[in-house]
Amino acid sequence: MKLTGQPILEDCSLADLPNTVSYAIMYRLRIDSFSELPKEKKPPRNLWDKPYRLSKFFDAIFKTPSSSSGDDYEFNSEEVE
Amino acid sequence: MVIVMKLKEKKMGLKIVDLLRWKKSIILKDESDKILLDEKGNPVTIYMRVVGDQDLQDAFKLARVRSAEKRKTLRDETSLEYLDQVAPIKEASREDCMELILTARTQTFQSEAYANVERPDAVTIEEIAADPDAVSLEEQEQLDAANEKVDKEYVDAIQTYIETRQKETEVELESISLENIRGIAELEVSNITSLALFLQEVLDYKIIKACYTNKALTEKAFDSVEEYRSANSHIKAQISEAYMRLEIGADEIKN
Repeated sequence: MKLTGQPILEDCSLADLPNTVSYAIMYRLRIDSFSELPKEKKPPRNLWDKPYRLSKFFDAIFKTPSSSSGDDYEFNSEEVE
Repeated sequence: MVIVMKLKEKKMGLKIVDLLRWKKSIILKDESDKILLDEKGNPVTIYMRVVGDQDLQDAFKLARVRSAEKRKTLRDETSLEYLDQVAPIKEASREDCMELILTARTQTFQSEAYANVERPDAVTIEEIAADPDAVSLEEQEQLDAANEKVDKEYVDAIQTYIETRQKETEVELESISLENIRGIAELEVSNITSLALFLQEVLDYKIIKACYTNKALTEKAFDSVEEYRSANSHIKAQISEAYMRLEIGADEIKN
């Protein structure tokens, strides 16, 4: 059993890319994208590979203010001259 | 009677060289460990590569179809598979049923553990070094030691979670009648048999997509899964072991 020693990924199309490499790239891109967030909004490490919990975390962190905050107003076309 | 499943003592962190090792060749041997020769007297060599993502997804889809069929057959009391593999459990002892159920559920407990046990964040150099931009060798050593401790505590916590769930299940099963335990065991047999079939199907499919007879990886070693399965079992064992060693699991990449 020996390594072939050929150049890595020679003649590989994207579809042929070893699944381990494409998985590692996708996973790394996702983790790196978290680094673009402010520290308090960056998900903790234990959520990185748990898509459902990660989604819940982001929902909670980026929760928009509720519509009953008093900042909204209703538009009534009949009041417009 | 708790079945203790020791997690592999492996170091967290994947080496980039392991990730980039994506193909290799194996020289096949016969049962007496002698190199197999072709008609020209050359060693019979299989060249293999890690399959691409599309082939992997296809493997999972096909394997799920087969495992679903198997599960359905094993739960059909009129089928031959049910009579052969599941029905004997109706005569099994409480201890055998409990052991079978615990073994079958341990895989689930492991998945649960990875989902529920909180993985601590790695220690960063900022927490250790006086000046993170001018780290001393001693501070780097301290960082390595701190992270090894964090990883070990995490693996220990996973192990404890699994053992706790096994004990809880054992206590729960002890209060159930023998008839009901046999019913649960029957269900678990259909689950573990289907899972084993799924894993075998995935591996077989990956192998026929991964193996070639030439170094340029252009001539397939097997035209179909059936052709691979009809090969000598000693040959198949060498090929499947080589492929499993070549391909890194997703869990290792994530660590």
